[in-house]
Amino acid sequence: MSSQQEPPPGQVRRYTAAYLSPGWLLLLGVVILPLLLGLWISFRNGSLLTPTSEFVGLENYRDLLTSSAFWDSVKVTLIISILSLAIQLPLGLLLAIVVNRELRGTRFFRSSLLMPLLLTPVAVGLMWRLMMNVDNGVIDGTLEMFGLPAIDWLGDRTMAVVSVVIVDSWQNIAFVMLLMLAGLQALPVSPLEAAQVDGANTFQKYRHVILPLLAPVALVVVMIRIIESVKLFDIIYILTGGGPGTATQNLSLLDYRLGFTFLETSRAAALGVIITLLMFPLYRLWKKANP
Amino acid sequence: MQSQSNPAKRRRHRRTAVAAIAGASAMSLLLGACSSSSSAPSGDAASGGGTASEITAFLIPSPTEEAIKKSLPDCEAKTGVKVTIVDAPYSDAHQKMLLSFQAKQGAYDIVQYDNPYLAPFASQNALAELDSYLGKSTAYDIGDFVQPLQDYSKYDGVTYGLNLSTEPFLLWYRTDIYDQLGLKVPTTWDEYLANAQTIQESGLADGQVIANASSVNSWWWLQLLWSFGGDLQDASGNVTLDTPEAQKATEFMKSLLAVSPQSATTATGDDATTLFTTQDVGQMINYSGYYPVITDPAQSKFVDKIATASIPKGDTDITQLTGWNIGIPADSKAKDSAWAVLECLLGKDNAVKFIENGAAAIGRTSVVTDPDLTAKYPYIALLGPASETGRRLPALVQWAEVSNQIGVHVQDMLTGKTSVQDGLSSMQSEVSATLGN
Repeated sequence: MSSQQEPPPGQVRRYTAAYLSPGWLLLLGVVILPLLLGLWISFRNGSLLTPTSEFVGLENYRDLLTSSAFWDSVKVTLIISILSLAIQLPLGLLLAIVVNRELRGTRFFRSSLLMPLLLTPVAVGLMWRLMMNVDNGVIDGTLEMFGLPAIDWLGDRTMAVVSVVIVDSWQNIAFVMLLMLAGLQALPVSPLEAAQVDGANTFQKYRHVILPLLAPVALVVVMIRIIESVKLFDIIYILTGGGPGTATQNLSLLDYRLGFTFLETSRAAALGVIITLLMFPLYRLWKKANP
Repeated sequence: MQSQSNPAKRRRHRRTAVAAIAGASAMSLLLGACSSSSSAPSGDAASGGGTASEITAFLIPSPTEEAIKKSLPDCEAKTGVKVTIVDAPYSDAHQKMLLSFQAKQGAYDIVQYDNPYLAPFASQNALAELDSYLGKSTAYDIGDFVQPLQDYSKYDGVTYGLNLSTEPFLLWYRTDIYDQLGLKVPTTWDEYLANAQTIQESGLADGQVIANASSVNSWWWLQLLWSFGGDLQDASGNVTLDTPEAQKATEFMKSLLAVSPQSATTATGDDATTLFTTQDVGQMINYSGYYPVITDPAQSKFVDKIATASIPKGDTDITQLTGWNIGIPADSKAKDSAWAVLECLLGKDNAVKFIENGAAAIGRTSVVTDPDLTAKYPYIALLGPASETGRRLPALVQWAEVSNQIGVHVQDMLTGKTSVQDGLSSMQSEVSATLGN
């Protein structure tokens, strides 16, 4: 082995560039150029409704940022993200703790929990839409069987938001659980043993040892779930269509409407850029937490 | 600043900057070449339509597409033109057509489209004018259509398509419930509401159902607005939505919602049909295009207990008309061949066979008065009177956005988020801004 000659550095660089170039070209073609194209389109007044377009500077951005539809969607996006996180994070952690104990039936329990994660969001949306139908859905049917009043899950403005959060959480709690479980199983043993020696009870172990050690994992989970909540589209589109009114129309759905229903490609591109910019601080935060 | 003092890094920065500028320039040139200029192709078919032995038809999955496929072999034999069919679901179809029109490569020779897209297509000269063909064609016989159906495919007075289906609003009602409660078929909206209230109070069924989902309720709301004497715009094009007529129409829609199944608040046209065919609902206002679903025992529990009638009248006698169009793109290089195929498929002689092949009926006078056909499909007889009082949805380039704006405000008013007065006022401002008033 020692007799083999090291190739000259210039040659290494050339080979490296040659080997990497297909990947870079692919990245350029499918990510960077489309992103730049989107940015370029957002500064024009392009639309599928008119054959020509011209440069309009920041007009699309100004129109969006001064429209009530945009701010309503921001509000809906925030509410759905915060509520989803408030449900998914503690429940996911709780489930991870339970599964981590390896009690009897844990494998069955874990497999059952993972099932929703394997379904496509469209199928999930359709299934819950049927179940939440106020006239003949199984949920209200069950409530009525116990003498409870039916709830208009999808027709009431507040309940429609709650319904979206419920369905999103039903599908994604398992994801949170999996990451938390991986975090729990990777915890160093010595701090726990030290806490044991010091006579800490279970609550104190979680409060002062386990949860602080899990914080980086939790941060990753929070970032991923916030990004996913902002991107949430399929479930809302199928479940409520953004309604009633615009009660559940989040930024993704508004962007879809602008681009694919109103055919206003430039306004849709501008909103895409705004969403990207809104998400950027999260990415920075994540990078800071995971240098 | 430190990096600027390093020559190697400076060179790298310069190279990066040059590459970025070159890339951006190349992209601009590329995009500039791709973005179409304003030179629209001639849409006048009379100026030499072109022929080909093979053409391509872009269709949208529907019973009508199936009927076209069944009818094509005869027409291919008759015209000597082979037709290749491509299709895309409704949700993508019109975007694909628009992209194809803007590319001007003549990808399609025939296109099926929904009537609200006539204005966006025609306004950018994407469709060929068909008046010159129609003027000469005895096989198609445009005179076999009443005036509202002749106008159905026109934009700014020019015909850009043929009627591929005629689907007006109809009243659908349950004969067993009507008989049990001694109700008469309503001829006015007040009678319709009174019937719905009677049915609701009887406990036999919910009073009625229409679509209230914000994505589609504008269509039902416009019907009521027209019936109560209002309109979207006045003769000068000014938006007229904050009016007493609009208030009356909205209050009436709220009254209807009070005697509907609970889930009707978010029901689309499909949902309304499902409610009507699977649970006890006394009446429904919905399009004639739902006839195959409503009369299909596999999808409808009450096939033998459902009848149809013309929709009630208000202050005016207007029935909303919808239905497919089919046309020839302006960039087609084989317009004459495409017309020959369309003339064969949709000509007067093939009209009955086309329906028997599964297509939604086209409201030709010879069809709606055909005794055999109307005996077999009773709803077809109603297409005649509905077409005579027929009015299509507004032919606006921005219809999709306007429809959404109306839909959201109507649902806000129906669900009590805003008062009718405030909702109409906001609707007026938003739609005016969209239409540039």
